[in-house]
Amino acid sequence: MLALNYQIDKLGINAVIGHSVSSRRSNFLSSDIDPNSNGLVIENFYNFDNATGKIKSQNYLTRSNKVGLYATVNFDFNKIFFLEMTGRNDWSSTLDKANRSYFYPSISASWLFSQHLSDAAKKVMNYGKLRANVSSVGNDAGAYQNNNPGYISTEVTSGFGTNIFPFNGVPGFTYQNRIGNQSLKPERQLGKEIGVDLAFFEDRISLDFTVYSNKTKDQIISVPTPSSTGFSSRVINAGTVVNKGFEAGLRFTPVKRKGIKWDVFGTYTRNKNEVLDLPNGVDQLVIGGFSNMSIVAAVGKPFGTFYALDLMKDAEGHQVIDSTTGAPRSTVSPVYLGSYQPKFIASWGSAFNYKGFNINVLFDTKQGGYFFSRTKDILEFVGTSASSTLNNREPFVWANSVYETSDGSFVENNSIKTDVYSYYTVNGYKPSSQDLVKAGYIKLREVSIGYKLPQKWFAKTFIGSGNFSLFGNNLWIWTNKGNDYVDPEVNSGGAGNEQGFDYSARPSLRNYGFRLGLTF
Amino acid sequence: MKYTKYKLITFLALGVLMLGGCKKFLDVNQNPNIANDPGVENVLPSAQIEIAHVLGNLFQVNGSFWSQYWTQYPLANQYKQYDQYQPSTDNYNRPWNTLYDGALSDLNYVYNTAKSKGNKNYMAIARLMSAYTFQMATDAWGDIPFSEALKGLEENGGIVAPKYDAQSLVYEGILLQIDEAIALIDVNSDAHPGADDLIYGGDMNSWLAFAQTLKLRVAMRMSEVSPSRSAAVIASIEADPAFNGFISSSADEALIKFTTAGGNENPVFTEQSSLNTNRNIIASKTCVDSMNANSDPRVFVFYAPLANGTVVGNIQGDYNNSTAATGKSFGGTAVGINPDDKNSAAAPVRFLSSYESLLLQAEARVRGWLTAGDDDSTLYSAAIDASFDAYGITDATEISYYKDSTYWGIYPVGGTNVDKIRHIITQKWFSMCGNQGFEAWSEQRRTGYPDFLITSVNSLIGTKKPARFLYPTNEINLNANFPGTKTVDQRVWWDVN
Repeated sequence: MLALNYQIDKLGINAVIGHSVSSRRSNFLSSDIDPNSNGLVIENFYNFDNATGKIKSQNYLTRSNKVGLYATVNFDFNKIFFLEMTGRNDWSSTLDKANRSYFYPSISASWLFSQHLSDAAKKVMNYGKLRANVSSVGNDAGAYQNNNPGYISTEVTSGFGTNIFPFNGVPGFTYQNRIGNQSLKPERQLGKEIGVDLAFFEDRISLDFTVYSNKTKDQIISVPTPSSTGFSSRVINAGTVVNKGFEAGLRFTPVKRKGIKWDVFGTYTRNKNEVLDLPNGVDQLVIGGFSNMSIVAAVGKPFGTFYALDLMKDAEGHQVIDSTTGAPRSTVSPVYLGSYQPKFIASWGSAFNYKGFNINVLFDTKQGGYFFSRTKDILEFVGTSASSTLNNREPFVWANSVYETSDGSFVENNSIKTDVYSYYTVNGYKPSSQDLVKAGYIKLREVSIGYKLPQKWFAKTFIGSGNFSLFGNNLWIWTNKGNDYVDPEVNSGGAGNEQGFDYSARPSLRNYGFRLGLTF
Repeated sequence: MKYTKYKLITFLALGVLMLGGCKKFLDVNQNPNIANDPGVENVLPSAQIEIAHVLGNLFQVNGSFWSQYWTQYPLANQYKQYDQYQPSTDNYNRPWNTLYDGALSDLNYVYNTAKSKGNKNYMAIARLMSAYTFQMATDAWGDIPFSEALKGLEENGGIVAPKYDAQSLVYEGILLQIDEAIALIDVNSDAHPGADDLIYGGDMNSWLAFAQTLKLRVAMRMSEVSPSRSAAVIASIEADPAFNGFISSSADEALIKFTTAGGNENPVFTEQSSLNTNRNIIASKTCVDSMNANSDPRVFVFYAPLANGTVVGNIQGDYNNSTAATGKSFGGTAVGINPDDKNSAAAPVRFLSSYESLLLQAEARVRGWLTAGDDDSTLYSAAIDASFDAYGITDATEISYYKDSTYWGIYPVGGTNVDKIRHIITQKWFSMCGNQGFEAWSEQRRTGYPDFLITSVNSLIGTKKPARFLYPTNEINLNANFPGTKTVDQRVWWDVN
């Protein structure tokens, strides 16, 4: 790295150029005695020598290298105007030669316009800044994602039972199920934003506001494919997704005198997510899912829209009932069912200080969007949720229902009853759409009461200062009507595409505690 | 300042030098964790076990429930969905996936690699296993991806949403694959598999018999929907100069022997012994009663006799009656569902059995489609012998009593064709008890025999009958060309009775 600094009159220039090389290597090695295909000869003797069958071992080696060159130039004029330009080029081993080099620049500018104000005006507005930036980021793929599939030792399983190789001494290798992508391109993000930061009355009120548009292009993801292709997934550059919205933050100090300080603050972010285009002109791509519920990227819809069978309705919107069994019928093909993307998130809180005491309260909320609740499904299956007591668990005539006659017309149903127990327990009666739950919540995220211990207590000790506080996290939650099941924040899929799934996850925790802080 | 400039130049020069060296530094993206060309002998056994695993577990259990050999044990829950005639679409993900992205995908490699090396016998075996697998899939699901299947790779067309072909076309495709294999088999060549062929150990004469027998079975399946096509296909078998007979004895039966070693156990055995409750399956009264009424000695092999030496079945689907669980028989060791007896793990998975072949021939003789060879009565008798032999029943008195004195043991030589076929298919049903459950159910759908199956006590579709497997969730949700779900009672193309 090399850095230069110039100051010419009012113009300051600061430039950096650099070079980076990174090399990653990992070697995963594991062995196990799998109870589904193997076992112990002598009970409770846990040793690999004590296996009844073949010990399964796996090892997986990955290696990837990357080289980067970058440069940054900063200008400031009279500490009022600022301009920063950066550029970076990376070369990555994980992409094919033709695509392995990618350049991503950024530029940002800001104007501290409050510097132009008169002293009187500064008493009203003490800080004002306008900022704008355009930035891009490039990312490479994971190791080997552009490789064609190869062969690995065969293991066939049915969920419980497993057959493995060698089989009677004969080895067996099977073709892998992921289609690699030799023409994989680096993924790109292009962000544009413009914003303003303001402060009034000596920071009594401060406000910031940003409007943004972030485009993600060619995101590298592994998407599931139907096995009839011979493969269960493929790696792709997933088209273009845009996130547009604004963020606002406000902080207000209504009281600030004689050792009392009270702050209130809030933030609000509104976002709209939309898939603009998908590779090869397709209009939909399944990006993940569990059970009977899939999530898709569909052009014109948010990335991560639920897609599954729903209750079948006739043209007038009446529920169609099976005339033999009374079961509500499901659509024959999956339909779009809303997205896991929220409409907005917000937080607000208050901080109160009096002499050594402080009280902090923080709420936050996420509104809009859905999640798939396996918890709801299973509670209904075992009959412990309130919803499972529908009609006192007695068979009933589904409200506004019709049944289909042999000539394909729909006739109003007044007599065929639906069995509640079957509805919740029998395969195919309750489509997955019925386990989608609105994901909105308001949470009392944190409350704390603290006291700064008197300094004189520590006067003759090695302790510099101390404070004591009581705190509670996740103290209260409000959820949307229809969600009596779980905290919508649980997400079984972790990061990645498979969001919005509560796959019977553990409930979220409420913590209480006290904290004693000492500095030395 | 000068100093800095020199530093800058040196730095840039270094950078350029490093970029030159980078070419090699960046060429490290060859996955070392996979084999790219493992050889046909290492992939063929994989495909064979993948098929056996599906045939021997899910197809076996589902088929045996709907054939009314087995029913749900009242003190457990695992297979209620079959007795309800309301399985989940999720239930069929694994078998579908294992057949398509496992077996068929591996067989493609065997075929293509063997082709590039001119090894005709491997090509033939790959084609036959592929034909067999497609018949399993289409008999289970009806219309399936066939012509556009397995073409996910870019160089094979990059088809990520294969269209579904009508079952009648899939059947014609299967026949073409069998004919191609028959033409490829070279019994005189030394280039053939050895121990890697888990079914026949590379015996190409046996594979030729397999090919002819499979062709007979495929043809016969069309007997109700297109009898003229059945007749023509069977005529072409006899007319083929390469024809050297069908599978006829235990020597050329197509089966894979499993063992008691962990990971090499019979698929339905390993499934049962890995379930939380390893007793999930109990004998069905439908099959047990009719075997008992005919003093059929196979009842003691296919089922586990009680302490008093009898075999007693539970009413099909009567799983809510927990008191009925006592005094009923579990499945037998010989068919892989006795998790308490390690020997059960060694039960074979049968692809094409000798008794099946003999009974297919008998039916073809009755219908007049097969003209040469033994007559139907002889074939019927030989099929009973083959079935008894396969399950170690050797007591001559028992055998002769069954064949000479019982309703289903005596072939109606002077009866009508309808009566003869009723006997042939019902005898096939007895023989396939718990060992070819899926095939028995397909034959029941085709012919309506046995004609004494009942409606499961817990049927959720009224008196309608289960007539297909459901399409798996993965196809419904992932395949853009998925043609729409079907209900369990919607019949497949060849099922017109």
